[in-house]
This record gives sequence, C-alpha cells and structure tokens, in this order.
Amino acid sequence: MRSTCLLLCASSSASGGGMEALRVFAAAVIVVGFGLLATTAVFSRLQRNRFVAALIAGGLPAVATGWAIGPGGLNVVDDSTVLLLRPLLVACLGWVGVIVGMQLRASLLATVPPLLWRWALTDSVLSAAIAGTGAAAVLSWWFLPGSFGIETALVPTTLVACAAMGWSPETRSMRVVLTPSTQQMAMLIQGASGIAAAVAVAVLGVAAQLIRLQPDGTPVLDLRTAVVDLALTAATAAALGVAARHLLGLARRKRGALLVVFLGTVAAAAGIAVDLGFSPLLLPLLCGVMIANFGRERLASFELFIMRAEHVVALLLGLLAGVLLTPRIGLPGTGLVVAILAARILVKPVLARRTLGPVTHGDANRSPLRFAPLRQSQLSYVLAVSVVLAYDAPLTRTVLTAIVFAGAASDAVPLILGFRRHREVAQERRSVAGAEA
Amino acid sequence: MGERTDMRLLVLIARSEAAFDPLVTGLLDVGISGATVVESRGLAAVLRQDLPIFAGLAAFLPQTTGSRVVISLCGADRLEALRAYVAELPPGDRPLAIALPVDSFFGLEPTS
Repeated sequence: MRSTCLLLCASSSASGGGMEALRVFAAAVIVVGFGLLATTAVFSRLQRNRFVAALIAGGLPAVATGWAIGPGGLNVVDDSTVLLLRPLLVACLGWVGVIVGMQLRASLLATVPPLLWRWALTDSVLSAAIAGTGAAAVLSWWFLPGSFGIETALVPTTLVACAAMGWSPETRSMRVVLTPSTQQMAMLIQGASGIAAAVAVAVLGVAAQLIRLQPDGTPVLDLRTAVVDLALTAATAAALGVAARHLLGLARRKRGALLVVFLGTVAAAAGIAVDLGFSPLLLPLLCGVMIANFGRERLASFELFIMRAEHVVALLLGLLAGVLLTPRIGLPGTGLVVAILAARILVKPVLARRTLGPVTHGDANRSPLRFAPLRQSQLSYVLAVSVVLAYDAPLTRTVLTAIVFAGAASDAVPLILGFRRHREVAQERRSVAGAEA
Repeated sequence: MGERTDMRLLVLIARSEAAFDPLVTGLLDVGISGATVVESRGLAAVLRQDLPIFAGLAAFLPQTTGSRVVISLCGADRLEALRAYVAELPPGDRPLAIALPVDSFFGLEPTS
C-alpha cells in the first residue's frame, strides 16, 4: 500500500492560476452553502419526513452531491482543492472525535444498563471479526497478491472491521407508532450505537498508530514507537482537555466564547494529531473524554451547543466522502461490500432480537425499529475519510467506496420494512375508524 | 372571576439554572410572589434527540439543560420595575420575556 498523505502534504497546489482560484472559490461556496443549509429551519422541517430523515441519517444525499461536484462528476472539487480545505476538514474530523468522546462521561456511563454494554461490545467484536476476516481475505487474494502483510493490510482491514461495528442512531424513520415502548427501544438502540461508535474510533485510531509511513510512502509496523505515540496521544489529549475545560468554565454561557474555545480545542487536537502522524479522530476522542470528565459541573449548554453542529459536520464529511469516491470498485471492491453486509446481516438482527426481546413489549415488538441496527452509521464514512486523508492510495479509496456502497445497501431493507409497517398501521387505523363509524 | 384590564400574563424563559436564580430574586424584588415554574427544553434539543448522527449515547443524557419557563399573572405596574431589573443582569442571564394583556382571569387571586 504505497501511499501519499493528503493531510500532511499540504503544499504545492498553488500552481493553478485563475482557474484554480475559481475552482477553490466554487468549492468554498458549495461547502459553506451546504453547511448553512444544515442550519436552516427548512432543513429541520425536511427531516420531519421519515423518508428524508432516513436519507439524511444515512448520509447519501451529501455523498451523492460530493460525487457530483468531484472528479467523477463536474470536477469542481479535486484533490488539490481538498488539500486547500485541509484545516476545515481536519477540524471537522476533530469535531466528530470530540463529540463521540464527550458521550463517555463517567456519570452517564454509570446509568447505562449492563445489557446495553453487552450488546454493543458483543456486536463490535462479532461484526469486526466477520467483516475483518472477509476484508483480509479479499485483500490477500485481489488487492495485495504477493505483498500482503500486516503492515499493508492492517489499516484497511481494521477500517472495514470498524465500519461494520455499531449502527445508525437515527430512529425517527423507524418509529412508526409513537408509544413509550417504542421510545424505550429507540433509546436503547441509540445508546448501544453510541458505545459502538466510541469503540470503532478507538480501535481504528490505535491500529493507525501502529503503522508508520516511511519517507517513500511505504508503511511499516512499528510497535515500540506506537506505544510511545499512544502515550503521547493520551498525554496531549489530557492537557488539551483540562485546558479546554478551564476555558469553557470561564466562557460559561457566552455563545461566542464557547464557539471560540471549542473550535480552538478541536482544531488544536486534530491538528496536533495530524502533524504528529496520529489519527485525527483518536486524540480528539480522548480530549472529549477529558472535557466530559474533568470537573464536577455538567456542561449541559455546551453539550447541546456542539451537538447542534452534528448535522453540519456530517454533511461536510459526507460531501468529502463523495469527492473521494471511486465508483468503479470491480469484483474486489464488491467483495469488501459483501464482507460488511455479511457482518450486518448475520450479527445485527440476531443480537437485536436477543437483547431487545426480553425488555421491550407491546408495539415495540412489531416495530421496524428491531431492524434499525442493520443500517450502517455515518461514522463509518468519517472513519474512511480519515484513513483516505492519511493514507491516500487507490486501495484506501476503494475501501471508502465499498463502505459507502455497503451503507447505501444497508439503508434499503429497514427503510422498506419501515414503510410496510407504516402502511399496515394506516390500514389498521382505517379499519378501526370504519368499525367505529 | 375578575375583570381587570391592568393585569398582564408574564412568560419568562430562563435559559439555564444559573439564569433562573437571579430571575427568581428579581421577581420577588418587584413584588411578584406567585408564579408557575415549568422545566423546559428548546426545540433544538428535541430535534437533536430525534436525529442523532454520531453521539447516540446522548439519548441517556438528562434532556433538560436547566432552562425553565416562568408563568405569572401580575399587575402592569410591576413590569417596568422588572424590565429595569432584567436590564441590569449580565446578557447571558437575561430571560426571554413576554408580557400579554389579560382580558379576564379566574381560579386565583392576582399577586397585586
């Protein structure tokens, strides 16, 4: 896996002249426009529709738009533009890391029922084992014949494994009947998804740390340096987290000050990670954990404030995933899609039934929510984007594309089931109304 | 039931626990000692709970951020004093305030 590093080689795209400047301007307008769109009331209103909610939660509109404006479509945005937008993209990755990390507040984790831990961790292990084994087989047979080794295969294999962990936490599109039992089921699905998200970010971050790129782009496995790097990551995250917590305490509820402190923290955490060659998600994740756990007072307003931007960040990273997409993945890429889907189909419904069956009753047992864990989380796109930015190569782009395709396919089945149940419920209501009349 | 054209329905939204505390003091200072307090949350929090993208575990977070709605019936003469009090608060602690004229009321005695 010879590779260049989009995140580190930030120079050398200043050559283009007027056309290049126009292209960067157009890209910035699209990116800012998309970001602004996600903050509008119109966007929120659109999401009240279950179909639109499912589409947006899956991330496909953003990916499709990204592909349309990328090299595969209109070519408004290409690799050189991505390089120029690097600070923004790094900050977005850091934002995701911090959000995922801030969930891991000790007092919150103490309220999570043991069954949820078992569900999320069992799912992570089994899904990763199936998808990872499939990915390793595909890589050794097709992508890397003769050069297959742990140093070349570890990151792409772990990426596929992590993409299979967890599921989309969006439940609105699957809650056809709004009752307390479906509310409880939705909450459990969201909670387990959050735990699995943290596991996926941590596992991929550690795997990425084990591999070091030599100056010629050849990856090498370096355990000794990795241990030092991990310790350095934890120490940096701790220092940044403590500093951020202190500054957030000073900013209190002043929105402007909160934004400045948070952007500074996110940019510093992700930027330091990238400059040191670490995962741009792991260090911010640990920083988020520190912010959430250092100090007694809960930063409720701050949590709400940063989570509001979740959709904006997801849209921007979905857009980037679309730009980096290489749709012609051939048979090997299809093999990766099959590996991810196999993990989802074999593991998720069984574990969901075993976990949710004994604790949910009534409407929940007929709800399409039972199949919600089949849907891939948008976090998997974020993981893939972080890997492509760090190790840009045809292989990593193919893995990214395979993950996007698997996400699109995984969205279909629960959506169909959701709309079938929606029709059934409508029919039942009509029957009841008819009988009463 | 009374018919009082000088009564006002006061709706105040304190955005956090810290903003609520001085608001209570202010109400008492201007002579409003009867009010109903409702724990509340913003529309953004509701929308976010519906459609999380990355942070699903946040479903287990307490859904309020400390914001509260205060509803009170008071005499119009109290409003100016309350407005002056609120204006002296730090901007972050100022409540969102609405005062509406009341045609009629029943079920309680007004605070003034």
